[in-house]
Amino acid sequence: MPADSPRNWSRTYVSVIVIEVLALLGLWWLQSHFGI
Amino acid sequence: MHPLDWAVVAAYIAWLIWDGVKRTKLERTTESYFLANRSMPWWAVGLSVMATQLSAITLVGTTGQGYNDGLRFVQFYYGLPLAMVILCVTLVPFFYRAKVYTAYEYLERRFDLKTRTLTSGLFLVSRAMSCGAIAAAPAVVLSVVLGWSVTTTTLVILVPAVIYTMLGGVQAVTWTDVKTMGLTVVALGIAMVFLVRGLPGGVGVHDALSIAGGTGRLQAFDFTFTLTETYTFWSGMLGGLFLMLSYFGCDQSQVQRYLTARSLDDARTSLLMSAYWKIPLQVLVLVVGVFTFVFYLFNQPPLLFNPIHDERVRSGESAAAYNELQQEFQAAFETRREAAVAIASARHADDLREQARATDEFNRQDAALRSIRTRAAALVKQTTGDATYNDVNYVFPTWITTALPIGIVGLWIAAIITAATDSIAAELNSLSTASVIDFYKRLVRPAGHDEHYLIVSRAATGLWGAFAGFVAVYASSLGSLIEVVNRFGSFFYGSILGVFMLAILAPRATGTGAFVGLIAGMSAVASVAFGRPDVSFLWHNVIGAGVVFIVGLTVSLFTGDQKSKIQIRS
Repeated sequence: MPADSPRNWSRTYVSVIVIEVLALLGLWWLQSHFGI
Repeated sequence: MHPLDWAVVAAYIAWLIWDGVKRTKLERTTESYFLANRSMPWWAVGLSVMATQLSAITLVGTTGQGYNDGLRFVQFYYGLPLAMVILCVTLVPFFYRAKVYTAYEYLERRFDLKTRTLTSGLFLVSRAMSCGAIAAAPAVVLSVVLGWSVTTTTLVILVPAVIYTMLGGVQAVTWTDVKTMGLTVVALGIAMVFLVRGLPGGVGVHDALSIAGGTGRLQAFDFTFTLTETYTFWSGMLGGLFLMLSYFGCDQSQVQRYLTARSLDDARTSLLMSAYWKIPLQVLVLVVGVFTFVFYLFNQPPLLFNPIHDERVRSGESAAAYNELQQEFQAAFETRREAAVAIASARHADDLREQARATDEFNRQDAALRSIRTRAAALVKQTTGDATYNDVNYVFPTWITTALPIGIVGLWIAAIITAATDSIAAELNSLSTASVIDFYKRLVRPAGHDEHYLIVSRAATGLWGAFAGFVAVYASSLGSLIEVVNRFGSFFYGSILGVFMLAILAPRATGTGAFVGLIAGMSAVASVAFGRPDVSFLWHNVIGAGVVFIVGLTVSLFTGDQKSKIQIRS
């Protein structure tokens, strides 16, 4: 079994949250641009 | 359906079974049967995690929700990415390094046997019932769409799952999940292309979005803070967070997926795949539903989407009233279509005032049309005696079978059947693992040979499959029982998360504390569920986890024992 790499997981976790915020902003834009 | 569509469905299902049977020779030990010798690549595990959660109901019911309510449902998933990050930091390393087969096995090492047995037993009861429900819901829809009996469609969904899971174990389940996820994404993409192509000349994608937005179907945020509404930003972020923590962190059907990963890094990466892709995928499914709504603004929809009920009302005592409604519906459809075209024309002319006026007029006409459909539904209830009639699950299958070309229909039916099949396969695999590892091997025959456990595991998979089939076929007569068991499952979901929180966050927590806390948590959720039925089930998870943690910790402080000192660390 390969050993666990000394990967910097904190940066990955931050990127997950940043991408979610961007996805929510995209949905917000969709709602406000085309919505009532 | 055309013979070519049947050929596509049959060929795809045959391929799944053949590929699963082919893997039989790989499964020589229980570790390979249940955990693939912890050798799976992260992308296959990640797709398997997503496919297990994406059942046929997602494809049929969620598109229906998109048609009726728009994007509102996506808020349910807002807590998911954060839940995945929390699990990658907390539970995943514990499970992976403890080399466990089941999540509940870890609880015996941390607490005691009774906590493990209770949590695993709760999982078996609730999952076995829900497995039947996962098969029953699409079986009913497919029986109406294909004109088969419910027993036949249930067997078409269940038999492949039982065969390839029994023979091929977790490897067959995972690689089938990979194929199904690929097929689903392709099928959704094709659906979007045909939905856009179905728009009339002069109405583009922007116009379609403006019309859908004008009806509120692009609303993806509701910031109202209320315990009674399921789909709001706050219930998704907080209630959804706890639900996803429970589901992905404490439910064997998900935990077993990432225990097959070849390293801890791969296990984490596979979970984060859902964090990145779950919300976009869910938006895609809902947008397909929204565009189905727009499609039926310009193309005549049936008054009732369920053809069996349509036929029964047509030939029943309310036939005359139904015919009148049909004519009214036809006229209302034309008026609403003109109102929709007026929105597009105003948008092209860049006339915002006219666009707002046209949108108001459209919403008036849409309300009139919905009122006719409500009256038609009342005739169905009167004719069939079915007081819960709702045809939302038949909207998208109707579109598939009437608007898509030959071949693509078969592709979609195959996608729906196998989405159900592979969710059930994952459930059967995890039910077999929990029953063999947590009960048979632990309590009945601890010193057997591995070959013996492998035979028992295969037999357990088959028996759970037969049980799921029984529940699915008799789902209608077991209706209230299934509801009770599903409610029981919701009592246990948040509560078991509370037990794992105690295990990891509270070094002083004891087995007795966790056991008493679990009972208290489930009782608290049951009291809320029966005393305040208007409180959304998403909040049950928060209440259950909170009560277990507080009561468990308090009891532990009074009943401290040696076991609490043995905490599994890396």
